[in-house]
Amino acid sequence: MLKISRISIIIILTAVIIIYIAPQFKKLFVERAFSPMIRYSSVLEDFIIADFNDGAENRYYDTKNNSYSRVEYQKMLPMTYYRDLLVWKALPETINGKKIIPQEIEKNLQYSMIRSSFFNSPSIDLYPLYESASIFSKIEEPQSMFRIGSSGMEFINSENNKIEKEISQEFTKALKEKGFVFPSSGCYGNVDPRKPFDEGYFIVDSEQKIFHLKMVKGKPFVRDTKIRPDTKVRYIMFEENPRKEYYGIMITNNNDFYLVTYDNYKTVKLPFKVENIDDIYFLMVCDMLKRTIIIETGSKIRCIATDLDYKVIDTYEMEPKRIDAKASLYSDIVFPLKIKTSASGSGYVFFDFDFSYKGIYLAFASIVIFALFLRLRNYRFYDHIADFIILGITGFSGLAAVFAVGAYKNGNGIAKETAGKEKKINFQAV
Amino acid sequence: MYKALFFKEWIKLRWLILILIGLSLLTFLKIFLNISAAVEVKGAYHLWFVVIFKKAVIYSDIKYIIPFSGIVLALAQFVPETRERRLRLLFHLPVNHNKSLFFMLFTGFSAVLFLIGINLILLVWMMSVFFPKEVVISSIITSAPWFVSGLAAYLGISLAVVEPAAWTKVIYAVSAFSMALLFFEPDAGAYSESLYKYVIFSLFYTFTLLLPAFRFKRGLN
Repeated sequence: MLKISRISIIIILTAVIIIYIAPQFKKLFVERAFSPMIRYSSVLEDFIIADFNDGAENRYYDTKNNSYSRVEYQKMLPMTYYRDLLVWKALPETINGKKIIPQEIEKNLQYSMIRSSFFNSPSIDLYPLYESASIFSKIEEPQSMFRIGSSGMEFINSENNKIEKEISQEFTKALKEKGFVFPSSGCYGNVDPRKPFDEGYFIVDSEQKIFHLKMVKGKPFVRDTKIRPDTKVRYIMFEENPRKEYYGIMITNNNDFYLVTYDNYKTVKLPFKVENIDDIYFLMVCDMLKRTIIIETGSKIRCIATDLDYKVIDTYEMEPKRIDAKASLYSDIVFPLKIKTSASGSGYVFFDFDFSYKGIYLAFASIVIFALFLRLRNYRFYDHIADFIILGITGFSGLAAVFAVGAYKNGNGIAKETAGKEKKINFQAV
Repeated sequence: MYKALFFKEWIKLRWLILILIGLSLLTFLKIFLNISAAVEVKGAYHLWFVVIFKKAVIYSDIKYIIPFSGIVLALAQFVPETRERRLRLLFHLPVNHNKSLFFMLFTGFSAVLFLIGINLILLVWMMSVFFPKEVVISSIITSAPWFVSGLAAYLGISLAVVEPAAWTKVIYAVSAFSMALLFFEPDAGAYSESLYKYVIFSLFYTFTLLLPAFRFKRGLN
């Protein structure tokens, strides 16, 4: 029992050391590095990169490594910096034969962004239903929120926390009439009331059929979108934008990205594939000339330029310097076992083990140090087999914990070693 | 004999448990009044929106009640025992030493569990007054790690108090504190996937008291 007690204390101390000291140790070695901004220049017909890597002096260059000044860089991206170009009277009249009208630039701009944390975070499945055909320009806040229950839609009044039966039945009936099969496996919409107008929600039913639901003049508006994804829907980023090209971007469990367009809910598959969706930053910039898609996953940045029909014009990939490349290496060496409590791209807290073989040398060194210590003190090795296992996995963090608790002295008692002074042990039973 | 041991622990803890229940009640009263006032001023829908989509943890005042209770109960139980080496008396009783120690821990642990139960009931009741069941469930998931941290704090501080060597005592106390802090990530529902792992990790504390008690018995410091 004593051995179990001692090892439990060592395990707790080791884990606490790893959880708190490993991330701080890493921070000692972080380096300055920013992720570069890559855009496709229709003027240059090449990707152009703004690299904030070199300290105060930013660098702008294309994929053939031609350098540019900041002004030249901005002139290469008239759709992004058209305001500056207007002031400089440098806005081209035509690009690729297309006439450039300043008002049209702004009207055709749209930035659609998705981070993994959007769908990798805890959420509460209650949603407000706004009036989509309001006579007022500002979206009015309702008094209730709805849930999609196992057998129907339920509106709950916030003032009295009770279900509004009438409207709940009306909406449930409307959904069922269109073929919706309860319960739902996902409800996606934009709950922000500051949006320009409201398009309601996409609701996925239990058979993975996707329905469009909104409230028009107080009545339910339900459409079967006829979208039938091959696999389950992972997430739909819903976005009301005055351009009205697409309702949002749907991600399936195959990690495919689809636009759900206003053209009778026709889907457009975006021309790329990602392996891991759990740590991703996705940005699509739409302008009047082209689409630029930027996907950042882990260490890689991928950039795809497409025409207005989403046919690929050009692609570019780079691996920018990571702020923690050196820090991660050193941390792997010193801490063979790490405990991950958070992850980028997720809003959850974890408790996951991460073992790195780069740390085995120092782990071995800690075993040797402890073995020498036992030898010098004439303590028995076989009383410390569990200690050696812990040291083999955790290295110096385990060694610190083992020394804090003290060695096990010849089966008879626990000796506490401090500053080389051996305490006398009274073996007499008390 | 165990009845007598329980009585001894009961005498040490009874007033404190009552005071800690009072503390919980007062904290919940404060939160309740805050929520009622917010509903009155801004309307209930606004409050729902903030809680559901902005992930505001409106009941976060209760965060420290249980860890604090764990620490207080551990101190109340074991500090008197370590003064003048009274714990050694326990080892003269005609009961298995380990069993009597575990019994002491079990009593304190149950007291912490009892306080957790009271807090949980108050939380569920208060949230159900204002919010639908989804939010109530989310509040239970959000506050569960705080409650578990109270158990870890209780066991960790007991370990530190019983340990006879001063420096080791400090190390144990710091590790108990750090351990309790692991449960305080701010986001609502953040632990829903991993709380069980933290509970398993905290369970390592269950057996730890035996070693310092043994060292105490042997008069090592």
